[in-house]
Amino acid sequence: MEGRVHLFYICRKLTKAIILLCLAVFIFEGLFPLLSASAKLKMEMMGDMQNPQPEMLKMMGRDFYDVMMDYGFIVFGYIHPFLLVLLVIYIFYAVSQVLTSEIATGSIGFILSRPVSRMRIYFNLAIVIYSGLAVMSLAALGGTYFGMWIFNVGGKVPPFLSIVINLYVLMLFIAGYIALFASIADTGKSLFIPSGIILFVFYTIDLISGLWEPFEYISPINPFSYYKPIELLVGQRLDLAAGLAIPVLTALMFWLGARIFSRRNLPSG
Amino acid sequence: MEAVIKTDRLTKIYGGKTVGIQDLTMEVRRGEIYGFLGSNGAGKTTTIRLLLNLIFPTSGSAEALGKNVTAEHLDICSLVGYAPSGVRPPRNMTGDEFLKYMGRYYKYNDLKHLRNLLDRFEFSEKDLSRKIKEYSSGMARKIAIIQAFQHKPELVIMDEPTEGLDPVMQHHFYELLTDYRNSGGTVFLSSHRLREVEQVCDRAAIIRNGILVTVETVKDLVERTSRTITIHFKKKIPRSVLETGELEIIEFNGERLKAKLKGDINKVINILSKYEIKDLSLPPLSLEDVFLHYYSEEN
Repeated sequence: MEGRVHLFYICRKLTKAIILLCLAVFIFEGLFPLLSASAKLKMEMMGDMQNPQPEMLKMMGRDFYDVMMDYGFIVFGYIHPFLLVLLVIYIFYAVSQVLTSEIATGSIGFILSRPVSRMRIYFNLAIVIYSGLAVMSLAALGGTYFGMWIFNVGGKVPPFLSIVINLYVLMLFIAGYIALFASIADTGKSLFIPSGIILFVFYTIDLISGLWEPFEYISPINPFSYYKPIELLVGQRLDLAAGLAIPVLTALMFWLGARIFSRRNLPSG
Repeated sequence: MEAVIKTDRLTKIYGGKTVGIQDLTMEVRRGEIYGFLGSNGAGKTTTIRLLLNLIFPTSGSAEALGKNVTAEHLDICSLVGYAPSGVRPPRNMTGDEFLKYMGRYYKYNDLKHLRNLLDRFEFSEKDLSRKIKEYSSGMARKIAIIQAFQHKPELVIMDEPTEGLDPVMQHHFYELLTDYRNSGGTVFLSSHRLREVEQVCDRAAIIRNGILVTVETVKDLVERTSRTITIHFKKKIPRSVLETGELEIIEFNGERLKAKLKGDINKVINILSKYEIKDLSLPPLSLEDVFLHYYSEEN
């Protein structure tokens, strides 16, 4: 009962941000069918894709060009990092609103003076992150299909649902990782700086891993390397072990974060 | 009498070296207003945060309402009200939303009681509809006090509750505390406002550098402490006549004497009656003297 009161409170707190981000994702994904429908852009793209620069080819991989040739601009919205950035922004925002800012200002003391456990607060954080990300992923999917319908994009339909599920699972992992940092952070700065920098480094490494072989050795521990939209678009099946490992690791991180948060001393604000 | 708060050698050491509190053993009895006095950094907030499970003890234990504050925290929370020091409630809520939100955590929600609290602190509907971020510090403090009492708790823990309250509101607050105590409630009140403790508390504890120095009824505390007497003589008198053991001379220049009254006041009057006095001041006993006594270097 008390846990639900807190859950309702944080849902209310995050509603506006979720709506705005969903709108951004919806519009962003909805614009790619429009680009895809543009004959002029299609012609220009065909030219670029047929003769890629060697460095670009090495960095992006042959499959990227094949996919773009096959499906056109419509899939670019799922390969482009903007979507990832929007989802990561939501995770940071949710974590900061539910935990970090409450801890930093000391107002978590009011909540914890009520009969609600820290474990439950952390569990509620997981719920709003999971459901918020699910809504945003659906908004992305909705934006794409709405764009395809309104701009009358025909032809071969890419496996968007698989890509969105892959993206969602990856984001859960990243959320678990950020929430783990939040369980020990006292302020927004102490949350954002270490976790944001590490995420940025991993993302950059993933982006340029094709350029330098040693980077590829880092891939197994790089969460971004498990987001494989291009592989899904060319019809490859994803590694089952990795597919299972990510949710298990995510659950472990949330469990560890909840344990740490339940046993830590909270600053006075 | 039943102990509502009980600590046993409660110790909190931050980072392995900074002492928050050390070996704090105390009992707060049901139906009393217990003042917890100390200067800044003495360990008042640390004690309160330990009682509320916001931080964990390094050693020792604490019980509130017969339950362990760490292991049975949730059971205690249902029966405790808390007003933290210097912390604003969530800024983006209106006062009304905040009180409703805090009230929802309890099955028991008496709107008439809440209205009564709001009236005591002269909270209007307009005030309630404003966002907390627009509140002055005094308004934020008032709403923090109201939420601590809104569910009729058995025990209220307050950390420097009157900071930022104007004298009228302070008076209303003291009335609320007295009424609450008279209805059987218990208050644990940390403060460095001596008048406040003197005015409303039944017993007071003094904490210094994390160590409990004394716990007594406010009356006993005050009575046991020596008062300072200041006398202006018309003519110079010899110092030797004042060195009787009844007075502890602080300053003396032949005509002006400032001393602590240590013994029987009648003996002092008897000595002084032999000399012509221009002015004499013997202020009433106050907790301030007690506080200074315990906080002075030599003590």
